[in-house]
Amino acid sequence: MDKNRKDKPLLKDIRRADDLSKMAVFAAYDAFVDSGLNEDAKNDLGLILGTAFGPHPTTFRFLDEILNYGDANVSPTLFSHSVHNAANAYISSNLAIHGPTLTLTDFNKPFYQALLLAESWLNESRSENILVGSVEQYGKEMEYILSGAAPELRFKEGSAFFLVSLKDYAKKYGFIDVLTYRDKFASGFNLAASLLEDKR
Amino acid sequence: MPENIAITGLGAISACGNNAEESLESFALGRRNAGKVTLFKTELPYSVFEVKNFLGKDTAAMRTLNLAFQALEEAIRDANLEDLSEYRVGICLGTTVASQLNDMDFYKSYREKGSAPLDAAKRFLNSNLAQAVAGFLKIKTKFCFTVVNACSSGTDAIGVGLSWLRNDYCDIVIAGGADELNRVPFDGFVSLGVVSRSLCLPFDRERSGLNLGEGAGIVILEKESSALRRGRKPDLFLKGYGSAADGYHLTAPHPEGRGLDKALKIALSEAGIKPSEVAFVNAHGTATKDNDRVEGRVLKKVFGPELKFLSTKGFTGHTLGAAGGLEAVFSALALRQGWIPKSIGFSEEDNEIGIAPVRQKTEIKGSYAVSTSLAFGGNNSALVISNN
Amino acid sequence: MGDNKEQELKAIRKKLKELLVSHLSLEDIKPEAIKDDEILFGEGLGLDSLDAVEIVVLLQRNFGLEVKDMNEGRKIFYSVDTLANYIYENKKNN
Repeated sequence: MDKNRKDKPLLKDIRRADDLSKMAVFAAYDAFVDSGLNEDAKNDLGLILGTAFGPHPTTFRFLDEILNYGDANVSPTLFSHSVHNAANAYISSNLAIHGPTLTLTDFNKPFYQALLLAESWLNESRSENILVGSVEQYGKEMEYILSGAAPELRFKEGSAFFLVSLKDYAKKYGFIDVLTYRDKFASGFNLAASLLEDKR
Repeated sequence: MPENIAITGLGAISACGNNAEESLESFALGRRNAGKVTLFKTELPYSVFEVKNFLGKDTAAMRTLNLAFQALEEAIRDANLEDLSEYRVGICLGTTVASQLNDMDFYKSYREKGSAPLDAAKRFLNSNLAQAVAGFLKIKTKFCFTVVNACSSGTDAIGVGLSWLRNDYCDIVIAGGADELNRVPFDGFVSLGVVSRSLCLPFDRERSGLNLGEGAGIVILEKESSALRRGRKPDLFLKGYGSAADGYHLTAPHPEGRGLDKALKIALSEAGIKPSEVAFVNAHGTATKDNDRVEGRVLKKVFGPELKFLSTKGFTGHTLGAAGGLEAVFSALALRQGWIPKSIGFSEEDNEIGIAPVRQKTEIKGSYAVSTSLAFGGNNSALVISNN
Repeated sequence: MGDNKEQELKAIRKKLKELLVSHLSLEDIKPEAIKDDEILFGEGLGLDSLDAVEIVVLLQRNFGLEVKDMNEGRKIFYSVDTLANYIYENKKNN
């Protein structure tokens, strides 16, 4: 992750955020800017984030706090970031999004679920435009756990976001016609990454 | 004309009762089953609302799952839906604790030795709440995920169910939320300075914070046509759902509650009703200074100063992911029974809020109820439930 | 006596500035660049309510001090100076 990004104001606003939230904010921000939508669109802009493991490194850092300092002396900032919806809280406050926002978790296909839900909301006109994305963060504890408990999973980190809509914009990358999912393991992030590869 | 979405089953477990009937009894008697923490070791003396006399069916599963299974079984029995095989079923449930791997024994061992027994980890990997319920019911469905939207998770999960049914993806959706009392959020909320040293006083002038609780609240949502086809005449309906972000701050609500205001407008508009048609509001009412001030003022602005409203968190504590589910169940029960309990813990109006919840058990006149949830991180959600 | 007090306060202010920068992730700011009378909340450093509760923990862990009530906290946390004075006064009494 390029911590030397040029958008300083964005970095300042997310100074306390852990890497999970930072990755999600950068990806969501980039997707919105890339879409060329104007500021008005943010009023009803929806936001759906899917994640398999959420901010697990921060949870373990919070457990460190409890072990190092006791129940009465732990960091409220770390706790605030150990909840799965922290990333969305940052995205919505940094982009001033006022539409519906939701974070969901699913071990197998979080991005797919997020896309399905986006379609559902678009059909209902809950939002005209929705930022849909996925984020995962690497952590040594989780790697240890997965290598012992689920060795077939390969663990990477990153975030990808799409801006989706039913409207026919002049600038568009393409359509999502049919969402299918193969039952073998494929993390939501990998799916998103392969869709992104076309873009590049 | 879009089809009516009925609520055909209700299940609830919390400190105020291990099922709906016991909960109503606590409401009627004004019983607050709070005490010191017994579920884990802690130096912190704050009162909590633990579920009592409950072990859970599956000793290998997380407590959150067992709470969910209990409420689920009640809801399914209530709906008379023991056999779900003929239906397209969706499952959407909210939680906070079940989504985290925060087992202290596991982590202590890993921290000290670089290794640890993986039982807790394996249990975590089997604990995606919605997936666990799908497994419990032996249902295969692609409409199945867990909402982790902090304090509005349960309400948002029910909103997702409404979406799926309106899109005709499912005939039936099991929705709501569950959370167990756990050391991590307990320590965390205390560190934020929002936990009261005594029993919580929602909307009261002297309120000083929340008490944590635990439980599960589950509703069975069903297309009306599906219910009628199997010989059930529904008496409760989910009429609307609205959700909007403050887009303001990680832990503080927007001072004017703009997200809640918007969410309420959307929910009421979907239900096709005016604020004056709402018989009562089951508020989020955590008893923190900020939440109650912001929420109370928005409720007064949207519904007027004569609004009948209450917070049931005086009876259950703040159950995090379960709150939205429990409060939807309580709102539905109130419409069916025709009364709401007093907003327990309240005695003096706060001038900064300018509106007071009900001070005694109150008869309901009208067909519509609203349940609100304001999440940490700024998402605000509202449901409209009706009995007609 | 007066010199001692001023020296101690100076040391407290220095430590405080370092702690604020590291503990609150004030990435772009060097501790030395923070003025003694820098206002912590609103203008000045622009800290918020989450930083406030974090400072409470910072005081507990580094100086052994408890802030019992956040209303009291508002006055103490006004600026680097007021915070340093609070620490100096209460360390003395401990």
